[in-house]
Amino acid sequence: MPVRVHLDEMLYRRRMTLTDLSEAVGITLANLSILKTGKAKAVRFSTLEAICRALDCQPGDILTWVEGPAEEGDEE
Amino acid sequence: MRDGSRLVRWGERVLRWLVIANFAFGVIAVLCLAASFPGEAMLAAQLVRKYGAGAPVMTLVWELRAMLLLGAVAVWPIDRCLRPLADVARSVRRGEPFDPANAVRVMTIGWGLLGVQLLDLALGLLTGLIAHSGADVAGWQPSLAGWICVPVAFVLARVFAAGARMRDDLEGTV
Repeated sequence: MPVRVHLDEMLYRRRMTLTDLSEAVGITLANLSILKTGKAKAVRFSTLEAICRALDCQPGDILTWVEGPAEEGDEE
Repeated sequence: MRDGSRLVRWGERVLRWLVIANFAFGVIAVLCLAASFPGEAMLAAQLVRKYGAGAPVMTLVWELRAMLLLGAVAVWPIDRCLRPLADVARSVRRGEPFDPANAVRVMTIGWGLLGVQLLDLALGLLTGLIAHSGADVAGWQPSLAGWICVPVAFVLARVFAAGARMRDDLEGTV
């Protein structure tokens, strides 16, 4: 699944650290780190909503899809 | 999540003891079967005393041996039920009920139960033969509940497999 996560860029633009975001959205640093490094298998709408609210952005600012081969484990 | 309930802990202990008791029963059955050959004359004499000289003593002796053999063979499918069930109880105690290994364990239990049921049918046949020979024998009835448990175990194995997959997905969900 070539979905890219741009949490780092958004955090930089908002001058926030991952710890700040973690405190703002109430999600553990470990889970946010999984999301940031693109290791997450799925994102809850509630998580996405909380992040967008905290970073004042749209889901598309955080996640983008790029053309590429499907990763192992993805449904055809 | 760690389920430290005493009931599960005790259940696991009881199952571990039952595994040992089952194995001991198997050893006793094999020993009795082996002893029935050198002690054949004594066994036959005892049967003659109880059922009279007209009783088919040698037939009864062989039926008795078949019963002991069934008892010894039953140890394996019963072990296939008890040991995985104890492992499932341990995983529940550790808070990992949807461990992928549990699906395999429950499937093993299903096969074990099927084995037990098939042996039960053989026991029923043997009981009929012994009764036909004129000896006292406990009555036998097919176990409907036992047969229902077999598909239940296989269905539960699928449930556990699906649960393990869902847990896997949840672990990667943020």
